[in-house]
Amino acid sequence: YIKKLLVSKSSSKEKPSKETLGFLWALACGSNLNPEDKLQVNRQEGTVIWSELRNRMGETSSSSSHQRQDPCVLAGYGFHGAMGNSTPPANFFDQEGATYFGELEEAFMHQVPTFRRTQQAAGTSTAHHGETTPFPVATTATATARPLPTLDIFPSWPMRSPHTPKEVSNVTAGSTGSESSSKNSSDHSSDQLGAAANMASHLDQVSQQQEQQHKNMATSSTQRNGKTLDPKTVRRLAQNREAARKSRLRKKAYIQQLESSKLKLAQMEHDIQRARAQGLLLGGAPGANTSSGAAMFDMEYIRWLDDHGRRMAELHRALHAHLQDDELRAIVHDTVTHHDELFRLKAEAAKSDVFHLITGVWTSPAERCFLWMGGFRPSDLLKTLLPQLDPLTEHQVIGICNLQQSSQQAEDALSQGLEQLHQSLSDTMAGGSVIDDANTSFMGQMALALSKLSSLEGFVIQADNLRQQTLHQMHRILTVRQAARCFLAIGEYHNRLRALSSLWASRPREILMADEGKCGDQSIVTEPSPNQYSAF
Amino acid sequence: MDRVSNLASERAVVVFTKSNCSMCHAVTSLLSDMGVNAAVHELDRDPRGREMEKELARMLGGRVPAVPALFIGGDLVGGTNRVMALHLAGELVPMLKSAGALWL
Repeated sequence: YIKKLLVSKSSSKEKPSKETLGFLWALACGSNLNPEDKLQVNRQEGTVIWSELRNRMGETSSSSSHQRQDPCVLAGYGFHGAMGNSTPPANFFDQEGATYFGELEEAFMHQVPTFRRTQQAAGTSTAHHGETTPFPVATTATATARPLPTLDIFPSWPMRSPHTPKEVSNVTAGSTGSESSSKNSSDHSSDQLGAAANMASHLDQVSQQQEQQHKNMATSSTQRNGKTLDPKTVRRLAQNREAARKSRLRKKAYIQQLESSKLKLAQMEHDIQRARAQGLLLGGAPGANTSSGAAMFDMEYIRWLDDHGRRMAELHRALHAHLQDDELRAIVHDTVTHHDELFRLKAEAAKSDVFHLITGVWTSPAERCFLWMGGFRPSDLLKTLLPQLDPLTEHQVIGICNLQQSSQQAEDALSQGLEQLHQSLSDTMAGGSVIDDANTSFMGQMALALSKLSSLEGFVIQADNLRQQTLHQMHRILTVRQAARCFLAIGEYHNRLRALSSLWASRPREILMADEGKCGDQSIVTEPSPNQYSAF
Repeated sequence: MDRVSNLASERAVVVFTKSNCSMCHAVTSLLSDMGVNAAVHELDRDPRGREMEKELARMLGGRVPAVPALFIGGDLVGGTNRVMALHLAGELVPMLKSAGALWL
């Protein structure tokens, strides 16, 4: 990397700045190696680099007696009183420089593998390196202290981690053995770091390990720029990559979640608006009493209505487009299926909040007026529809009339059953049960009442069943075109009821406020004259 | 186990109910509205009601509640759902007629 830098600088006919050179030199010093050691690795290139460095330093340095010292003085990165004349590079770690280099080492890892390897080699070979491992300790610790976000090669300020100063001091405290430094590293590094863990667990084998690594160097994996990395570094790099990848994936997932939530929110807002337009939320919907099942159903119903409107339009087009019967049959069949879907939704809602369904809060006021057991009354609907379906064959007329009659009987039966339930429930609430005259406590009453209420769900479901069967039977009795007209008529009928609800809610009224001082508010609603609605 | 079948064969139309069951009341109302004279057996008043209920549940395919359960001509027709669907389809009356429970 240094070579590249120097080459680029030289080619641009621009001297590297004093700071740059000093920095590089200091790095070289701080890597705890004799510059000559590095040369052993890349003899040819190293010589070039070194001589170039020396030359350039020579140009810029004021005193050139001790090559090692000068750049450090020149470097001026706040290494106060950094190098005594005889301080070996090892003691660089006493200073802040160690921290700095620790960080930078990490940053350079990808680009300067050579330093790592040669540092290890130097560690085993050179005598005056009492601490063979502090540097890797520091760097590996920093690796775990913080994942590598970007390659900030030339930071304007040394990057510090909370761990390294401690480590550094520990390193110097336990200056003799690599054991202590290993221990410290394991204290500070996370469990992820296999290298540190290895070191911690093989304290007496560190030297062996290093020799092993030295041996392995030639055969280690992960060739980078044609140079080899030692296994520990390889592992660390892989872990960093993995961590970065995982964090990217997490970020992606989070963003996707946000996006889908945004869509859901937009959909819900649209649904609410639609509900208002439909006049469903007028007249004070019981917001406080709305259970989650009810709210869910309300939203689903609104969506169903939207869908229904589209299908009705499609059916209308299909009917007047003079399609082949087969095509129309498919569309009509889809319409029936769509109605089935609503009954399914209602059955679900009945399980969680039967009161919501049976009181018809989910439907428009006008529809609610005609409500029977949580929906439309099938026999009534048939009575309304019959005139719309002309011309019918006699066979069809009989069929529909029979259907109407059967439905009427079934409805009456269900109504009677519900009536009995009401009676039984009210008896329980009143305190005297029909069956059991023993003294029932309040909780006993409640328990009994609850068990009775649970059958309410069954009635709503049976009523929906009647509605569904009615629609299916109509589909069976009628021809395709007749069935198409039938379902359009049903849709339109309920549409009009909903429209009526909206109009009624927004009708013009006059309210007179009486004198407040006398007896509170008094509002007088004027009788609407027939002329008022002529505009409609 | 046979008690259910025995009772079901006694009359043309047999319904098994429970006295506190409102849905059972609905089904019996329907039959009487149609002019059917059905035999009604309340399981909670029968000493062997428990096992009969289990048997009915089994016959209905594990569906709860086991009541009301309608038998026509000794054969199981089904629960409320089935009875209502058959009636709207116009098939219940022919079944009753063929069992002799209804006349024109």
